[in-house]
Amino acid sequence: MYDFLMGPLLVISIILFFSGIIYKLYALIRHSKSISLISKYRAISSDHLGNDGIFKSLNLYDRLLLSFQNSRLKSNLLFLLLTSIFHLLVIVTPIGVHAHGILFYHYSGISVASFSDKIADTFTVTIVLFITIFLLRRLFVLSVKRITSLYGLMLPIITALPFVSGFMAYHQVGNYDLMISLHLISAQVLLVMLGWSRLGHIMFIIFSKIFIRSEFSVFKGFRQWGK
Amino acid sequence: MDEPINELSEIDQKGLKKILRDRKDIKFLLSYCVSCGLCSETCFYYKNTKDPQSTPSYKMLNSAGLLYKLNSNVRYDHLIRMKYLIWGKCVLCGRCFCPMGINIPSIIAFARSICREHGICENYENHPRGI
Repeated sequence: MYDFLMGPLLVISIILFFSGIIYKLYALIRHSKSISLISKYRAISSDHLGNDGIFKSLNLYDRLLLSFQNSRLKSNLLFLLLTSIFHLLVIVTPIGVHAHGILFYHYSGISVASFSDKIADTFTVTIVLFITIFLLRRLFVLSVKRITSLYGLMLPIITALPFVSGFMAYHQVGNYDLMISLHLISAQVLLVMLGWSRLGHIMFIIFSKIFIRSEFSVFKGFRQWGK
Repeated sequence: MDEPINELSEIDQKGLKKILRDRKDIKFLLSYCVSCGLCSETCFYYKNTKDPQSTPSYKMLNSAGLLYKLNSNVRYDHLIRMKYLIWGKCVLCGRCFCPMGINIPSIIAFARSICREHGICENYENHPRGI
């Protein structure tokens, strides 16, 4: 079971993950349009990043600062902090876990830096805690509840599963073989969903910050999603 | 009065299906919404009324999103109910901000165009607000 999960199934899920990202990026660009000359000039009046002169004079730090100042997240600082830390941890934790580093070295011969098991534990607990907060928000904040479907409720749970099962497997809670199998299956499901479902927003938000010209973008966007 | 302003009373399912099929970008963008609810704070209508049905994502998902969901089962009352959302609770000011970059006004405008094609739109003879 373990060999199968770590062998062919892992390869399939990695292929599906990358193909999903490539397809989505292709679809995003295909379903977007270049900013027309008219909207480019119209943007100057309402959007100071639309003005090339001012934009050029700013360095990356100022652009990030301006992007933050213009962001609506500023009015919801707690949520900004929660989402930023959560998304960062979700990316960093699986890469930095020591056991994953050993496995990666075993398969590729490349040694990667990893952090201690205590830090990994803290990160995992923090992630699960944040997911619980997001889940509760989806269940009880009326404006979010109204737009959340059953599938929308499943997404945080699917994200939490590999972290919970990995934590339990490491601490030998329950049957180890079962836990490690659950960990591998749930992590591979998550990997495929990162490529093909809306969970991929964790990566595509970067593209929207680059491509879309708006008062929130860090770079000089030249496209717009939707036509 | 909830009557369409023209003589149409049945939905041209075939035509509607073709329109929905032609606008794959709208379908794609709708599937891109992660229901984070952050757009709500940018809508002046929501900020003033605190009506959970007036958040930009709710309006988007329950207008064009509903059309894609129902596909060939769209009925007239669906469009009439939609009218209260996309005209009554939205002025297409374009100030809504989606962290994912979804162009919400373009999607609502698309839903409006489908309603108009079926004779459902603002009617200022009935009410000064048109709805």
